[in-house]
Amino acid sequence: MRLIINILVALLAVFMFSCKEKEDNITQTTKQPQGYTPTPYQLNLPQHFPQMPLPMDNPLTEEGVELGRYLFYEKKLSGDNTMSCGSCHKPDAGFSDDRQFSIGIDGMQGNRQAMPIVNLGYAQKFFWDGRSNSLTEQALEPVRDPIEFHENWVNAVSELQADPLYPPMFEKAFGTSTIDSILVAKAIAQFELTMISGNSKFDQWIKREVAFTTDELNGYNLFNALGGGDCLHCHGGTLTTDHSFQNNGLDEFLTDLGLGAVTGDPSDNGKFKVPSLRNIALTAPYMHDGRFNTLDEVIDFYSTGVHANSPNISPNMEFAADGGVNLTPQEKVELKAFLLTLTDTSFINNPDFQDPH
Amino acid sequence: MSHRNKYVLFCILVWLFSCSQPKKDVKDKPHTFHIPVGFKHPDLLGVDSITDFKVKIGKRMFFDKNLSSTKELSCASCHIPSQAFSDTIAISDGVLGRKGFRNAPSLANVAYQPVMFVDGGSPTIEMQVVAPITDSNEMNMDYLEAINYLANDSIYRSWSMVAYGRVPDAYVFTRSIAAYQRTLLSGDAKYDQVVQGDASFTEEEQRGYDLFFSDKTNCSSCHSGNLFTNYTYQNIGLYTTYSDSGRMRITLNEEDRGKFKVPSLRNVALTYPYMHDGSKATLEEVVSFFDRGGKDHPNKSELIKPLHLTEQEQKDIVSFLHTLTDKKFIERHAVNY
Repeated sequence: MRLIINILVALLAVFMFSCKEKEDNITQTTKQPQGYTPTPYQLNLPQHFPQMPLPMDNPLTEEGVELGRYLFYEKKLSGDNTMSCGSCHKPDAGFSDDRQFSIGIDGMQGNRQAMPIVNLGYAQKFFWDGRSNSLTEQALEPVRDPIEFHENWVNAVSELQADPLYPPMFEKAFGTSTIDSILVAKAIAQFELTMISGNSKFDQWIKREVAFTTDELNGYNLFNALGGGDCLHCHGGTLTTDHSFQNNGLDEFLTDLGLGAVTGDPSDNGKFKVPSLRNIALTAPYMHDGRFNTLDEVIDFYSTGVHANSPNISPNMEFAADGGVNLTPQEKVELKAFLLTLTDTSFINNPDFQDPH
Repeated sequence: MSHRNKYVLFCILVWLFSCSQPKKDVKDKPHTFHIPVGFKHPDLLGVDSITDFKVKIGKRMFFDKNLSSTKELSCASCHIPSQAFSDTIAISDGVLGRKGFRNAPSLANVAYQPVMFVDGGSPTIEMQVVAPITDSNEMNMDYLEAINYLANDSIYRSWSMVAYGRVPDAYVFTRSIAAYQRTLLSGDAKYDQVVQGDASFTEEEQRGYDLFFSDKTNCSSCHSGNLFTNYTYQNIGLYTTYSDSGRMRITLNEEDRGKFKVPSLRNVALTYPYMHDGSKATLEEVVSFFDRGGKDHPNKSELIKPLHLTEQEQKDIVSFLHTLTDKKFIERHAVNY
């Protein structure tokens, strides 16, 4: 009997050795090609857009952007592997959520509307309250947020490490097949930076490729008219945001301090990030708390619903004392017609931004 | 052998087993096909088990522009996911402004197609995928160069080692990309919901349905079954002189001149323009064409003859055809999350 066991142990040793050797072979072959030579990513900025200040510590590469896209749609990043970034930043909702509050893996809701992902390279602060200073920093948050993905990064990273998809992609993007949370976030940030929308009817009109209808043109003029819609202070220019934080006078009494809760400065209370209006027709509901379901409601608010006595109300809300800019029904129709020209279907349908899984 | 020794032996066997198949759960997880109600499981040709991982490899290839000579086109450039994997223009743009000569067909349910191309020129998807890659009017890629690219791309290389146990080669390329295409199953349109009793047609759609399946139009003689095709080759009298000989290109048989494979009508509202050459822009034009009964051609099908449909009846048929659009399919494959 001892002999049998000895033979078995010997066999075992042989088997283990052969097995190990095979695995070594695989790792060797996978590591063989070229090494770390990422291809710089050529950002396709529309000609009428300003230069995008890209992060110095996270240069865009083809490989990083591709990896970021896989990770953006990777459900392994959530606690029970049911949700990805794309679950609440849905392409057909302009990469935002059509629900007022997104629902996390445990069925819990947050208190803010998912922000659309568009032209983020121009922003310096992220989230409605600006609590993240870079896209990389931002991407770390939803994963570990208990009401969102409710996952810890150690777990998430080890799941990615065990998936044969990822180690070679990290190797190619970052020169290491050892995954960590920062690299995951950097890759996602790279992907998000490429999500540039600049081919709406508005853009085509700027480039003199199409004409506006009378309503759209009147709406555009209203949008930019002091004493009209008065939108331009915060939403002016091709990017339709100045990236500032403002209180637009939604409430007389604040229930969400916004930027103030982050800075601790009472003069920031009630301020929220000015969102881009690109694809606004797709990104309903509106405002940081998704309180308005339609553009009509939003326009009505700016027309007659503004609370002048809201703490720290933006000085840009010049007609707050009158309750708003008091548009006529026709003006509302025109303003809305213009806002609808900001929809860029080639952006939301761009195959490069869809789920690769 | 004592119980203790049996236990030791058992442990060793377990160990050996686990050791010899690393990461089995991830890499060998069979793909779960979304098989529509009433559809059979797609024929996998017995080539390989289709795993999730192989589908992912194929999907990356399908969208990979490096597989064209100018690095500007991928399969998806002309088989646009949101158009049920067809193109919106009559003849797709190849590299360097070149043009092919036929309309890119939808890839929905391609797994069920007994042969590929409208002339039946390729017996399997695995063989078909090589054609657009290498066609000088399409992606214009040297096949060896394409395979070489895959073999030297560290990601494909690693993935292929895990999924197939070999460096990417023509086998890995054709099987992966075909594996992905075989997952494109579409059969959950409004029509299907009506058939299953979960929805109902509007009056117009119902009239169109009745007409479609009637002896008056004979549409369903060829556009039959779950996929609305019987996969035969038919000459519908589109032209009196065909510049594209169709099935005859393969058989060299004069009786096959101008015959083309009957296309599936699944998602037909999205697969415009129509006919083998994309010469009909809208469904209305197509229905009106069939109403007129086509032009004279010796090979024309007997079923193609003037139908004398009223304008309303033509509208009804178009309405019915719109019920074949499977939005869930588009969502799952084009904007899936």
